[in-house]
Amino acid sequence: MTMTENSAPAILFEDVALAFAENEVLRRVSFRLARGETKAVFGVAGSGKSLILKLALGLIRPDSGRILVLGQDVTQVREEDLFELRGKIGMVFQESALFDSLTVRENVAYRLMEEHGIYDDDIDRRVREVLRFVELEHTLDLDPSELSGGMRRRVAIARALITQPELLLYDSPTGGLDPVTSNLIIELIV
Amino acid sequence: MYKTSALMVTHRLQDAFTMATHQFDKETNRMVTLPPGRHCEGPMSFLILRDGKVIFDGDLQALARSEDEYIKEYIS
Repeated sequence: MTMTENSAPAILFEDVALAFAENEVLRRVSFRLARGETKAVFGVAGSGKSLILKLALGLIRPDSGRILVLGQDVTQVREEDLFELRGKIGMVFQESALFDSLTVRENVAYRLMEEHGIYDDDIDRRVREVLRFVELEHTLDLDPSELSGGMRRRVAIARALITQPELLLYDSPTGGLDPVTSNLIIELIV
Repeated sequence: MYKTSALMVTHRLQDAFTMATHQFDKETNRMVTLPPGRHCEGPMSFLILRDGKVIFDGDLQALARSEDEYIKEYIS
């Protein structure tokens, strides 16, 4: 760790480079995301934008450069420490990535259940609170397969928010949705 | 709500423009359009990648003023 958590930006990329075989996908990429800032990353397909999220999560390591996330250098920390860091990060994937075998309630509670082991009244209150926020409290006991694509995306947002993460990572949160539903998702993000 | 940082990968420019020009209104519990000239409460920025390189990193005003032909075409 090279910066204290308080002084560090949420994310810092310094001269990050990554290549697959002969294909250079990221070339000395540098940027910072300040605390409380929202940054939208654009680029055509193949520009390397989704790789930035994978690098920030420590899922892949760069060939060179430095990546600080919430004050920790994810290119250097041990895998065990990455688990702790990921606990402070909420992630919303394009495919929603809900567990099909779990109900909406269980999906949203998943990370809290991992920490506490049992589904208690406090977890139930928080699950209902975030589902109310995305206007889906009535879907508590439904399976993901019973939801529309937009509803699944809203459940994914609720699941990301329930731990009140310091950092949220969105991977194409409106990808594949119609314009009206896309606007609803953006409204939730705002 | 708590204040958090967010990094959003997207291919939809309009999503980010909407985020930069709207804010959440607690009274109506809805997103409302900000008056012209006003921008969202939290800092909002845009980063554009091209061929693995960062070709833009700045706010909405800087993006709108960019003279880069690729960026102008991208946001048009």
